[in-house]
Amino acid sequence: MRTIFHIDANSAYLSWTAAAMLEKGYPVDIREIPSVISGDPKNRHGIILAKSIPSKKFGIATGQSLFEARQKCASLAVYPPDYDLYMLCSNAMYDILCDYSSLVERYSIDECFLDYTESKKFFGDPLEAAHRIRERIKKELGFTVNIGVSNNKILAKMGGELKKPDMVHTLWPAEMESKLWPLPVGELFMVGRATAQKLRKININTIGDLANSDPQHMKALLKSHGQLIWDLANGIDHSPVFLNSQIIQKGVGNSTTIAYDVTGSTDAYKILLALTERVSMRLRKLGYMASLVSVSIKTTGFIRYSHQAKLQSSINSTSEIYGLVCMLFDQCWKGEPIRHLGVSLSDFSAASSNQLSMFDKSNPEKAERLDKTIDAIRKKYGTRSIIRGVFANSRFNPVQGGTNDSDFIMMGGYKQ
Amino acid sequence: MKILAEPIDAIVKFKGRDKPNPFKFLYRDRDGVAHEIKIDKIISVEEVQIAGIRAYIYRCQSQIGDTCKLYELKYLISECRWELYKM
Repeated sequence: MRTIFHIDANSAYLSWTAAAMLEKGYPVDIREIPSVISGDPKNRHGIILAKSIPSKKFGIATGQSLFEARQKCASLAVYPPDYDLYMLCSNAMYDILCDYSSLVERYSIDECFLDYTESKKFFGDPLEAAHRIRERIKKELGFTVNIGVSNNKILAKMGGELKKPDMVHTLWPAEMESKLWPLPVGELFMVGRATAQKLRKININTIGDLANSDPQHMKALLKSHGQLIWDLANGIDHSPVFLNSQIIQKGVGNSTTIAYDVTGSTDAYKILLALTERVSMRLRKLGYMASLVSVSIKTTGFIRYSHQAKLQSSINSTSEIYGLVCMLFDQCWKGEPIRHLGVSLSDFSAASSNQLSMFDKSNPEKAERLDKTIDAIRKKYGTRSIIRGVFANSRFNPVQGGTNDSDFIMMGGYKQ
Repeated sequence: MKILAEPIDAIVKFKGRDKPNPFKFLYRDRDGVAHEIKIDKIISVEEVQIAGIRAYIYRCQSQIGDTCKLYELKYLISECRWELYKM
């Protein structure tokens, strides 16, 4: 039987900020007062990214707007995010976990899965080892984690969520009935707001109700997702703990919420170019070419739509991708004020074995050399060391998307 | 001791593979008055990484005026910067 740990930093962004602030002599531990980490509302990024446990008592939740949160708690302390710090904290946590197993999967910036099966003979009882890891992270890094211990990833993850903070929980299959099944169905991994609502309509209110339902019924109601959540409710998960280097990335995309409403296509083109710069740079870094280009638009009325094009050949040049992005934008934009724009690429093939097209307009080798040179300059001297002329003396950020210019990527792409 | 985390100017000896060895430092208090303090004794050196920020903490002792003071200096490795950490 496998032994899997799920390690999750408690209120990650907030406790990482708190630990760094205490080190700088800040007199208050912001984990102990109603506080939140939030983006800047002036740039329309005023969303709660993390909350302290005392702020939870006021009904403040992650993803709410800062305005809404302030209405619930007038004395709410608000701090900005520091993504470089979060990357340091995440790397330090990962390094500690690597001392206990050679199989550690970085599931997100603040969550890891650790396969403890082979480590038992070196570090002993899983529960004691989990407590040692928890204590070590608290003492050495200054923040707390929850650790879930079970025989597969889903039960370990659900176990870790049971009670916070700074706890170790087991959720072995035999304990599912008493620990997991009484919880509301919305608490189950992969059951979002919409699915929970559909389930409640047919009187499935707890995870136990879902586990004891007919899987065929679930499949008929929610298609393949129904089977998936039925499996999860019954603790069925055979997926191994992957090293992130083994996970094949299938798409890259970046988007941005704009500080003002974009009403003209000139401004929209500039933002799309800045996003294309980031996306195509990431694509080339992965060593891929893409044959599916997609543009997404969110209007000020929060209506979101997208448009995509499948190409006959694969591309990775910034200019070529940008040309398609503009074409897609022109085809789908209905002229409403825009709040949010996104560019994404998928259907990858290796850049090393690309089929040339007879109908290529310009010299593809020249474009490749140019992109390669720009990437190298940016890698050595920083992303903004070389920018397009259109951005000179303009108010637009020449490379947009992502939270900072370094290697902070929410999912995957971490150091191994 | 209280956390101050004030940036300082320091004269430090770097020797081979050893950890940097602070010799004396200049510290400006909140009134802007500069104090030059010679480190009489380094009691211990510890490597820490609170919030993932790697640093060396030096527990030091110096004669300041009439009193023998205990304090801590911090070297932030990624920033190559010294702080009067606690006093």
